[in-house]
Amino acid sequence: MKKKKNILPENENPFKTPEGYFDGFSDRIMERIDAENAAPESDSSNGIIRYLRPALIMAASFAAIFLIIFIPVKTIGPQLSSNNNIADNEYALLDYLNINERTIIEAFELDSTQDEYNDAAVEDYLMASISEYDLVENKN
Amino acid sequence: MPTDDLIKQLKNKNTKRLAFHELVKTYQEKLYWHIRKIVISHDDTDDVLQNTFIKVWNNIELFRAESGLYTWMFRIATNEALTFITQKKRRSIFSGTIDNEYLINNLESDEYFEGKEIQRKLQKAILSLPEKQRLVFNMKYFDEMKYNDMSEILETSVGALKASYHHAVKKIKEQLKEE
Repeated sequence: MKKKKNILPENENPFKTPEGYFDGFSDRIMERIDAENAAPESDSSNGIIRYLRPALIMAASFAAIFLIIFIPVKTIGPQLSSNNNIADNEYALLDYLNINERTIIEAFELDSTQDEYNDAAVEDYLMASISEYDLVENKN
Repeated sequence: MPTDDLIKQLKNKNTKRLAFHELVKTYQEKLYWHIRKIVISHDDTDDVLQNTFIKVWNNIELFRAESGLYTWMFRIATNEALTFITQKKRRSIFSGTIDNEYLINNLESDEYFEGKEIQRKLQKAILSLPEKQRLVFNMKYFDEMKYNDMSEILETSVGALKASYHHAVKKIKEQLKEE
């Protein structure tokens, strides 16, 4: 042990270790190395999960946002769709009415031809019923 | 076993385990005392020493013989110890402790410190130094390491190391005189 100049004390080591510390150190370090080498093989699925974790978190976030939007839409949705049905029904009704309008017009037209027919029939009937005498009498 | 043969065996999968066992036995004490002077507490030193050897085990295939095996391991041990202290300091910011207070507390409460009172004062004075000066002082004063070896480990020029040691000694002397 040297003496370092005047003021500095001897450069002796003031620290110590627990008894037998160095005797078992190499065995302990080998145990730790074995444990660390064994860990990645048994935890390969965990390793994959750890690798995919950011993507999984992002997917879960999207799913949560989808549910937050989907649930209210699903609740309000039927009301909107029933309104749509009403609109569809209106179109169907209009179609229905158009057909009926035509049908009604045709029916009127048919009625008017029937009336013409009826007038001619009435005239024939009248002509057949009136005698020549009656006609002469009326002229006078 | 010569170092070259040990390195060859460490890089061979079949002989790696046995060679590593020998490597640990050979260097564990030197690295332990180097780390202990940086982190002070025995328990922390044990953690850092284990981390150092785990790094050596995992990276021995990448080791190139340009620097010596001992120098390479010393550099890993130094980096691991400094990283450990940095992490401890970062945590202690939240508990309101100042710079090296964690290390001073370790020194005060260390049950494995058996030095005299003057040794405790010297250790406290060393802990008040900037990190680089503290490293240089410990390596020169206690380990009596050559500046060239120190230069390789700390990746600093010999001139800068000499200057650091000079400043460190001056500061420590002043502090010991004050007490």
